[in-house]
Amino acid sequence: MTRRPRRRAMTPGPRVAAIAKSTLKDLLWFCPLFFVSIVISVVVEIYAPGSAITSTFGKQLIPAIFFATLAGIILPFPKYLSYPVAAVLREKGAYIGAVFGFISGEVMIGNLAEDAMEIRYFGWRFYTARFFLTLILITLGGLLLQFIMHAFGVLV
Amino acid sequence: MMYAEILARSGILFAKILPLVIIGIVAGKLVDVYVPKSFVRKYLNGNGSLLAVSALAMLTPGPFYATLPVLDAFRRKGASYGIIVAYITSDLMVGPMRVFLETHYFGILYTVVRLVITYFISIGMGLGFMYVEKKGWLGK
Repeated sequence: MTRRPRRRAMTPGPRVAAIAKSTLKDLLWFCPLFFVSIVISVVVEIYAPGSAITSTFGKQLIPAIFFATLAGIILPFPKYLSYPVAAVLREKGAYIGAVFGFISGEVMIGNLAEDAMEIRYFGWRFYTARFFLTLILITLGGLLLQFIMHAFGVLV
Repeated sequence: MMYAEILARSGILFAKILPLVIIGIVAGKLVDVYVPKSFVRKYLNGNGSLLAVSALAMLTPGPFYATLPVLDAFRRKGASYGIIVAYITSDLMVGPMRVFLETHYFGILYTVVRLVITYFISIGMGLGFMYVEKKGWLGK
């Protein structure tokens, strides 16, 4: 009769120790990089001119949505602050599709600290591909939203 | 004066976010240790998973800082980049606070149409990444 080999299961103690050790190791590389990223984003947030974003997003539809998306991606807005800015853009005559592009661009990409973390985990190629695909698909999404809202009779 | 303000604001932000990051890293390590590779390869690959993940990510809470280490753990276990990016897209673009703000500023119709379009954008991002991954453009 052959003996089944005993499965060497990791007991909870060593597992917890391994998790703790690995967590500390990750934190050691992450903290300095993350702090520098936060300092840079705060500097940009303080010095970036707020009036520059209130340029026209309501003349030519496709460029308006594209540049609104790009502005959302590039301009460093704190979380949720893009909504009042987008509302002002809308009031000043921006397309609703451009408003969508602006908010979505801000949400998808545009925080240096998060970007640094994403690049550290998934690499430059992943980040670059996500950047360009985001720009293309959000522009198309903005166009679609514009047409749907128009079809529903919303003033666009 | 300005340097002190920058440092103070950065310090406050750092202290706010750090606990979330630690939670995310620990959650990622738990995935590393407890989630079997076979499970990830079976359920986090393919078009069916893409549709489900894009919808589920709209409902899951959690900041990006905390989500990334967990997604990285799933990636190392064999989840496709398409699934990862679809999750990121839905997760970033939808949240209770965002829905509330959008309804307040732009109305319910805008919010509903936006949510539907977001779902398709997530799927599109996922399919795009599955394509570039298949082509080998993302490296290992």
